[in-house]
Amino acid sequence: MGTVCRYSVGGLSAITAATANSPVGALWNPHATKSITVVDATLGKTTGQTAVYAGRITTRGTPGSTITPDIDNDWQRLIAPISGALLDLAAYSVGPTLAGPDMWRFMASQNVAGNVEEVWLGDGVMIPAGTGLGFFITTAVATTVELSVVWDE
Amino acid sequence: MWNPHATMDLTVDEVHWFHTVGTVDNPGLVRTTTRGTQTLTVTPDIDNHDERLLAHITGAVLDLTYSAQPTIAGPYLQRINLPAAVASGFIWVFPLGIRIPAGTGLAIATPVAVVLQPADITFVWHE
Repeated sequence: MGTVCRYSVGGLSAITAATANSPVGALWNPHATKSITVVDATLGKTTGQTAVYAGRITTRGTPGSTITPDIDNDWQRLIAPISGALLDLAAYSVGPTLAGPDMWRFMASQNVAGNVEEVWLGDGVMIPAGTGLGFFITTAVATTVELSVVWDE
Repeated sequence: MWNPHATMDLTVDEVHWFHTVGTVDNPGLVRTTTRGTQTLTVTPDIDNHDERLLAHITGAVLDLTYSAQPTIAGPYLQRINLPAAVASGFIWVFPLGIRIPAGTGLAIATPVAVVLQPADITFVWHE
């Protein structure tokens, strides 16, 4: 196994539509060939009394805002992410395309604004090139979140 | 956490943040490239070494309040939102550690226009 660089980035979403399965954010891997591996995600609810789930996405959609990680997001501060991974945030004008059932849910954040839940993913969830990991509300409650994602590449 | 050493890096393993007042805030972790002007500083010594063998060589310090802010570098590494409750808080754990190059720092700051509330703060690092 070669050297792995670990990155993290966090951002605050704008409020989602009050529509079930609206996206709050996503880590998108735009690289043509290179995969990345998500190892951790943290969700802090600021408004909205609904659970949030994570699932794979196959199109990026059109996010309301995007944070572009740079060398400062490298835990070793050695190199900007080669994948060009991006943190997209609500409100989306066009949602990403969810692929398959949700992978896990942030249930502790369901009912109380300000609750924080972190999920460590062990060996990680590989995100192939040209795909992403999206985060969506379960029920029709407009929601904002602080979303942070940690990944290796 | 500011690393004032001219050449030696340090690596942050954990950051703890727990409210002492019952007001919401949005703490985030971000790198800094200048120290700013701190008005309260904790200077660790040999008693902060977990085996009490040696004071830390970097001279790293914990700055707590400022009259001039540090310079923030790059997007935030982590962000959370905390509820309006005393003792609400969070522990960030970094299994591979976040390297803080010589002459730079790692700050807890508010990325949005919400006042960062008083809190008990702990940094764990190795060097």
